[in-house]
Amino acid sequence: MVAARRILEGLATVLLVCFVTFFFTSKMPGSEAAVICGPAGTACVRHESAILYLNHPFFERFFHWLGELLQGNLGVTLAPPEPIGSVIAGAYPITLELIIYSQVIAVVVAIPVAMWSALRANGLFDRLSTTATFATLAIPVFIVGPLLALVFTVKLPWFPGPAANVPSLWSDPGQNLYVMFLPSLTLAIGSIAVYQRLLRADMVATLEEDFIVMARAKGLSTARILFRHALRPSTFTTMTVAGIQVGSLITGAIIVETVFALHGLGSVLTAAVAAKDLPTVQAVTIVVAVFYIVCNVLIDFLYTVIDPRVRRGRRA
Amino acid sequence: MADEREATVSSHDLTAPGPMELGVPGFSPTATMVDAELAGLEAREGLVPAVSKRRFKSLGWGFWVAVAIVGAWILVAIFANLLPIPDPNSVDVNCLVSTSPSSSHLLGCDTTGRDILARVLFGSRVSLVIGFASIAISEVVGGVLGLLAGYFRGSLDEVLAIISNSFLSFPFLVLALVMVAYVGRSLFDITLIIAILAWPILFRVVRAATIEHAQRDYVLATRALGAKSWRVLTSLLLPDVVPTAVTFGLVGVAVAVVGEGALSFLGLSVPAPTATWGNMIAQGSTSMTTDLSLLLSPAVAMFSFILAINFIGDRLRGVLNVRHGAL
Repeated sequence: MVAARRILEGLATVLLVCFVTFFFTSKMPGSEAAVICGPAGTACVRHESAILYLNHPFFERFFHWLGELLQGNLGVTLAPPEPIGSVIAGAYPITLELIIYSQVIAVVVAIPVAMWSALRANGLFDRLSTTATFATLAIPVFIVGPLLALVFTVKLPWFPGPAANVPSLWSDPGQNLYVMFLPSLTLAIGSIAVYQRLLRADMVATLEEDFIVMARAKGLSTARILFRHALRPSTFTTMTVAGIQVGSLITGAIIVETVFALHGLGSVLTAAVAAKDLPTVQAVTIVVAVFYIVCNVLIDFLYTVIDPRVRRGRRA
Repeated sequence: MADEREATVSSHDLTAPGPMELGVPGFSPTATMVDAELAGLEAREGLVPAVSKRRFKSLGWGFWVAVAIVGAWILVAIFANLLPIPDPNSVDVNCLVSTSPSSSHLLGCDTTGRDILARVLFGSRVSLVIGFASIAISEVVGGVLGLLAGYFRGSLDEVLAIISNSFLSFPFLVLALVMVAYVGRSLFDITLIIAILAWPILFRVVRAATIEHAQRDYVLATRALGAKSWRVLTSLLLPDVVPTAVTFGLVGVAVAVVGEGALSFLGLSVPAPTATWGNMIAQGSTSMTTDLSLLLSPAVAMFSFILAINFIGDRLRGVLNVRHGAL
């Protein structure tokens, strides 16, 4: 039931985004037809207007456009005219990989660091890691990115520099993950800081619970207590925040793509904005909105999987 | 302590006739009680600062360093054209030969022969104007709407909550880029765009503070006495939510500066050749293998400003006892 409601809410949001972007696109001075034709003259404009459905009333056009959208026709980019669908299809895997890869790195780094900090709360390691995360939270991605690129591609040439050719993940996974590591790490830094802080705080609280004392009394090893008993009940706040984080991850991905000259959705959007290519801006915005909402529904679902209390509470 | 003494003197003046003529403040127990009450009233009415000097002393020296840094940047932004630095857009031919620092170019030059120091100092104008102006706009819009929504609640509150939530949930930079595509990218446009994106945060903060304060006894008592909503809002609740609005506003300025920096970095803020910290960082990151100064100078400038203003906001939040709860 809850999932159904979330999905309905998500659909309503997507529809709203569609309507708002369509409204503003249609209100812009200079029709798409005029831009496509350039100086070619009125006959061309009339012809293109008919193709683009521009001569019809606003709502008729909106529903026609929406119908095309549902059939997967996202329209055509301005100069050079290319189907937006294929442009996005070529670009989105990079952005998606960047976001997922960064989250994997963030979790792999944040969990052990948070555990070690929580185990010796206020110890030297705890204070060091807390200070480090506080500092990294304050530095914007567009400063961290170039600095990381400088250190790890120029001073220490461990990784290929920006504008490196990214092979497909399926044809050459090793090389792909190697090239994408530095960009993903850049994007992960913010998440590492957030997850480490939240996880540490929750972990400190969990470690004082009775069942942890019980586990200790049974003589379980510290590692087993941490990973099997303490980790799961400490992840709820982090999960919730991970959902909220998706928005800032998309923001970060746009910048990281520019820093490392990756051809993802962010660079498509940036280029479209610079060229005032409104149909493309519109299409990318809608794709991002759908992605964002799908992520949030997924995290809600994951939440019920991890926390049995939520599952039962919601059913009741 | 100082406040109490001041309050006593002023109330002494008010109640001049009677035992007070003896010239001894707090002569009778009743007089002291009246004094205390008046002092309380005055504090609430804003005649006496609600925060005592002792609490400001607990801010620590780090706070004043941060204030000095922010103050210095504000002065630089205002008086950049009076400083003994070259024009930020003029090209020095000598500098094209060697971009490294010299006596005439303390931080060296960028790849097109323009003075980096001058560009960093002039770049503060864009960042600071957009940072402060956009947050000022969102303080007014978000603050007023937050007060109204928090005080009246009901359908107005619900509608505004839905609108602000949908603004906050969507990726910030995507919305900003979309608006740049539709609106434009002059200094005014960018200020407006960031204000449109920032008001929901201040709305939520002010709304939460208003809800909290509106349930307190003195507000309920004032309403029970028949005070008009307008009076309750302006003379009771407004002063109460100002500390919250100001401290979160300061953090908002830092966020706005970073946001403008991100747009600039993508080359989609105020157009070239105007120097901004963001577009300098972008330029510097393309030439960092040969000249690091072009990347580091604007980065250090921006970092010092956002760190200082964040620090001020953080310390004030502690001292003014602004709670994070119920947001």
